[in-house]
Amino acid sequence: MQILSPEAKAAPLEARGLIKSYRLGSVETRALDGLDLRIEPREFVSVMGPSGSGKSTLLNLLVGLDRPSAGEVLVEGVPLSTLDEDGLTALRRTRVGVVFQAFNLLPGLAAQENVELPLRAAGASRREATERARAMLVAVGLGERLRHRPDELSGGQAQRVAIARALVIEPAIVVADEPTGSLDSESGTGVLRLLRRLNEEQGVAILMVTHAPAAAAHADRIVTMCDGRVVSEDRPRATPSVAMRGLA
Amino acid sequence: MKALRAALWLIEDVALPYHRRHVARAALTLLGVAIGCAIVVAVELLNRSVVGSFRETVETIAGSADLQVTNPGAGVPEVLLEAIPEIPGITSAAGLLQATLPTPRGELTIFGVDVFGDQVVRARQFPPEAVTIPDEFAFTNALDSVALSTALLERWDLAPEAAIEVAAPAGRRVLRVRGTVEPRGPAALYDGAVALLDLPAAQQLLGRVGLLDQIDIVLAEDAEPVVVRAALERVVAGRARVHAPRERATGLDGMLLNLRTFLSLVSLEAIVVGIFLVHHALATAIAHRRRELAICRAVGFAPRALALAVALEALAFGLVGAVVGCGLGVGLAELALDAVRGAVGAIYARSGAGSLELGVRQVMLALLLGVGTALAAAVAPARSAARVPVLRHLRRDDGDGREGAPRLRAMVVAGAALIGLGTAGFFIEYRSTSALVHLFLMAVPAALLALGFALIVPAALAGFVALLRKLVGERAPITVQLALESLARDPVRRRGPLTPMLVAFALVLLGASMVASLRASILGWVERTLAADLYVVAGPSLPLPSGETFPAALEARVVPIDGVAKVAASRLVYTQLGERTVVLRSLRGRLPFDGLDYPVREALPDAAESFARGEAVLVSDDLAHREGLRAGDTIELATASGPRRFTVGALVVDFTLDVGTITLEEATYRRFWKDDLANVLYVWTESGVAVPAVRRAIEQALEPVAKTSILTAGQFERDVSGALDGALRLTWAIELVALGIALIGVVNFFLVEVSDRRREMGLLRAVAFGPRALGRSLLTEAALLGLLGGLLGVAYGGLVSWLVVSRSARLVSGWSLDFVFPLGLAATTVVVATVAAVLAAGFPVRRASARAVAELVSME
Ligand SMILES: Nc1ncnc2c1ncn2[C@@H]1O[C@H](COP(=O)(O)OP(=O)(O)O)[C@@H](O)[C@H]1O
Ligand SMILES: [Mg+2]
Repeated sequence: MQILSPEAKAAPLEARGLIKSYRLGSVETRALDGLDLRIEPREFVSVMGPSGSGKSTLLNLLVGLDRPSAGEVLVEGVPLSTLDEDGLTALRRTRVGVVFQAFNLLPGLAAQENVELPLRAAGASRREATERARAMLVAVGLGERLRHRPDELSGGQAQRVAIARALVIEPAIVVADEPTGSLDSESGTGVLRLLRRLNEEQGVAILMVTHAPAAAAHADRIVTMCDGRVVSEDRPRATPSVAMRGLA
Repeated sequence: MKALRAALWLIEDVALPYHRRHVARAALTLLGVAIGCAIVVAVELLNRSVVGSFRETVETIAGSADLQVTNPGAGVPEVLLEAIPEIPGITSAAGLLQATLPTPRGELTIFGVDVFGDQVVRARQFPPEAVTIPDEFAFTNALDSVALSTALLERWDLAPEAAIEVAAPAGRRVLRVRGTVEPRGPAALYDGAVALLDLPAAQQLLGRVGLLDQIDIVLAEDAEPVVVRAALERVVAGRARVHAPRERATGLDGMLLNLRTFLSLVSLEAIVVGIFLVHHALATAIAHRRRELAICRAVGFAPRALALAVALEALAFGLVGAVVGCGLGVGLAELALDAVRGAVGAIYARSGAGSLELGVRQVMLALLLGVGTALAAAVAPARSAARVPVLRHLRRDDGDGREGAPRLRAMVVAGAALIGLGTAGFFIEYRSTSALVHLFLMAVPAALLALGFALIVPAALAGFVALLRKLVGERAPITVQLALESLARDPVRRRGPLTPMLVAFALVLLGASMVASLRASILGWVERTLAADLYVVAGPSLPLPSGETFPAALEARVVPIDGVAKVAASRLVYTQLGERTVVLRSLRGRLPFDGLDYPVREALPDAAESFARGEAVLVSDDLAHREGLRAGDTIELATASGPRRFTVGALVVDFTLDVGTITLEEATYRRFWKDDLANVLYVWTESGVAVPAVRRAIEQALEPVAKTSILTAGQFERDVSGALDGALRLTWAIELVALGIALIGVVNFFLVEVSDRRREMGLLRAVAFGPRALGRSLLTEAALLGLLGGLLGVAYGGLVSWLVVSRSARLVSGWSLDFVFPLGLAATTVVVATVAAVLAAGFPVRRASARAVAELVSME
C-alpha cells in the first residue's frame, strides 16, 4: 500500500470546479459553487469560512462520502468519478484518513480496537492490526490508554484516538472536519500540535476545517470559503515543511 | 475473503457485544427460531412415528409374505383361502384375523391364525418353536383357548389355565390361557399384549365367521411376481384387494392427508412467526447500530462486508435456534405422541410404539429451516445495513431526517396489485393428495396478500392520520396534535411495528376463524343429522369405524322398553372405493331418515325410494368432490359377497370423518356384508316421556348382555365439540406466540424510536413540555399505531380467513365449510392491539421523558 512517496507527482488531493446542490422541495441550495482546490504533498491546509459556507459539504465530497453534482475530485491523480462505492470505500481505508468533529468512535470498543477498525475493514490479521494500532496510539501519546473505552476518555484523548485511526492506514492525506470544535481550548491546542507534528514527522498532508483563526494559524496555508467558493488564500508563516520542499 | 474477515470481525467486536447488552431480546429471537424449528421437527417426528410404526406393524404382521389380500371393513371371504393356493407360483397362503379388545387389565390384541397349520407364512410369523401348547387337543377343541405372550403372562402374573375376561363385539367373554408364545415377530408388538387364537375360535369370538382380515401369501422362488399378482387379482376380483404389505402404509398416508395438511399449516405458521421474530430482531439491532455502521463505512468498511456481517449474524441465530429447536421438537413430540397416536389409532389405524429419535432427516430439516428462516429474515436488514446513510449519522446534529418523499402512490398501486394477485391465487382449481401441494397453494397467495398489505400500510397510516386530523382538527389537545404530526411526518418509517402486528393479528384471526368455521359447520351438521334422543354406543364415546361394536340384535332388547318410540342400529366400517379407504355407514329408513336429516347438495328425483330399496347410496360431498362423483353415477364396492354396484342417489353434507362417507340402507348392508354388528343404536323416545328414565331403563336392559354407554343428544354434541377442541388446541399455542411477537415488535420499535428521537424530545422539553405532556404525546402515538395495526390485522386476517375457509378448506378436504368470522375476537384484537401498544411503549417512553433535558440534547 506504500506506493506513494512524497516525491509522487500527483497531488494527494485536488478538487476541480466542484458543484454540489441540494434540493429541498422546490428550493435549490448550492452548497458548493464551482470550487477549485489543490493540496500539495506534505502540505497542511486549513479551510475557514462562516457556518453554512459549504465546508463540511466539501470534505464529504473529498473523502468520497458523497458525490458532487458537477466537477471532479482527484485523490493522488485518480478521479473519484471513476470509482464505484467499493472503490471509494477502499480509498478511505488506504489513502484518505477522516477525522470528525464528533469523534465518531465506536462506543463499545476500546481505544486500540477503534484504531484497528480500518485495518480490520481491509481484512488485516489480528496481529498486524494490533501491532500497528498500538504503535499509532503510542505516537499520539495514548500508549497508556489502549484499553480505555471512549466514555472513559476525555474529549481531547478521544479525538487523538480518532486521529490515530485516521493515520494508522498511512494515508496520503488526512481530512479533518472541525477536529477541535468539541474541545476546550487547551485540549484543542494539544490536538492541533499533534496534527502539526504528525504532518511534519510522517509527511502526511492534512486538510482541516475550522472556524477558529487561532487553530487555522497552525497550517501552512489558509483557504477561506464563502457561499461555496474559495474567496481568499493566505500563508500565515513559512513552515519548515514548505521550506524543505522548496529546497528539494 | 477480505470482506468475510472484516465481517467476522464486525460480528465479534460489534454485534456480539450488542447482543450481550440485550440478552433478553437475543434469547427471545433464538426462541422464535427454535420454536419454529421445533414444531416442524415435532410434526415430522410424529408423522414418521405414527405412519412409520404403522408400516412397521403391518410388515411385522405380514411376516415374510410377498403379497396380501385384504378388504378393510368388510373382510376377506374365507372361501378365497381354498382357491388361492391353486394359483401357479403361490407356495403358501394363510388367513389371519386381528382385533384389539379391552380387558380389565388393559387392551389385548388377538391374532386368529391356523395355529397348527404347516404353511410357510405362518411358520415365519409364529414359528412352531416359539409357540408352546402343552395339550394341542384341548386347545383346539375349546373355543376359549388362547396362547398368551410370555411377556404378558409375566406382566399380568397369570398362571396356565388362568381366565381373561375380554369385551368381545358380541359381549363379554372369558378366555383361558392354554399355551404361550415367545415375544418375537408379531407377538412382540403392542408391548407384547398379544394373544394367539385358533382361527375358528377367533372368528367366533369376533363375530366374523367365514371372514378373514388378510390372507398372507408367499410366492415360489421362480415365480414371476407380476404374473402371479395378475392371476391373484382375477381370482379375488371384487371381493378384496391384492397388494404388497408395504403398500398398505401408503393408504394410511392418504387417509392422514387432512391431518398432515393441518399440521403442516401449523408448522408454516410457526415458521412465518419465526421469520418475523428474526427479521424484527435484526432490523432493530441494525436500527440501533446505524451510527456505528455509518462510522464503519466512513473508515473503510465496504457495504458488502456490513451486509455479510448481518447475514452471518442471522446465520448464527438460525443455526443455534435450529439446534435448540431439535431438542425442543423431540420434547414437543414426546408430549404430543400419546395424543396423536391415540387420535390416529382411534380414527384410522392402530399401531405399535414408534421411535421419536431424531434422524438425519429431522436434523437436516431443522437446520435448513433455521438457516432459511434466518436468512430470509436477514435480507432487508442486510440491505439497510449496507445502505446506511453515512453522512446523516456522522453529523453532530444527527436526526434532522432529511429524506426523500415516500413514493406512497407507487406503493399503494403495487400493494393493490399484490392483493389482487393473492386473492386470485386462492381461486386456482386443482386436485391433489399431497399436503405439500396444498400448503404451497395456500402459503404463496397468503404471502402475496401479506406483502400487498405491508405495502399499503404507509398509505393507510397517512390516510388514517389525515382523517383523524380532519375529525379532531384544532380542538384536540396539543399532545394529540403533536402525536398526529409525528405520525404524518414519515409514514414509511412509522410502519415499522405495523407489519409484524398486522401479520401476527391476522394469524390469530385466521386460526380463530378456521376453528370457528369448522366447529360451526360440524356442530351444526351434528345437530341437524343426529336428531335422536339417545345414542347407545359400545365404547365410552363417539362411534368410529375402527371402534368398539355390539351385536345389532341388541336393538330388539331396546324396542320393547317403555317410552321408546323407535330404534335404529347403524354400522360404521371402512371400505374400499377404488384405491381409497372410505367410511361405509348403514342406516335404516327412507330419505329424510325419519329425523336424520342430511343436508342434500344434489339428488336424483327418486333418491329416497331407491335408497330404501338398497339400490342407491348417499355419498358425502367431500368424497364426491375428490372423486368427481355426481348424483346418478355408479360406484362399485367390494362386499363380502363380491363386488356390487350402487347408484349415487344423492350427495349429502357429512362430517363423520374426513376420509369421506358412503351411506347405505341397513338391510342391504347386512345382506351383502354378512355383518351383524353395530356401532350405535339411535333411540327416539315417545313425546312427553322423561328421557332420563328411558335412559335408565335401557341401561338396565343392556347391562347383562353388553358393555355399552348411553349418551344423550347433548352429551353426544359435547363429545364432538370436545374432540374438536382437542384437535385444535395446537393452533391456540401458535397464536399466543404470534401475539407475543406483535408485542415484542411494538416494544422494540419504541425502544429504537425513543433513542432516535432523543434530540427532538429534548428540544420539546427545553421549549415547552413537561415530561408528562411529552410522555402523553408519545403514548398517544403508540395507541394510534396500535389501533391502526389492529384494524389492518382484522382486514387482512378477515380476507385471508375467508379465502382459506371458503376456498382452500374445500380444495384440501372437499368439505364446504360455512365461513364464520369471529367478530368478538376481531373487536378484542383491535382493543388488545391498542392497549398492548400503549403498554409496550410505556417503558421506553417513561424512561426517556424522565431524562434530564441536557442529557437528551447532548449526543455523545
Ligand atoms: N444533506 C443536505 N441537504 C440539504 N442541504 C444541505 C445538506 N447538507 C448541507 N446542506 C446545506 O448546504 C449548505 C452548506 O452546508 P455545510 O457544508 O454543512 O456548511 P458548513 O459546514 O460550512 O457549516 C448549507 O446551506 C446547508 O443547509
Ligand atoms: Mg460543518
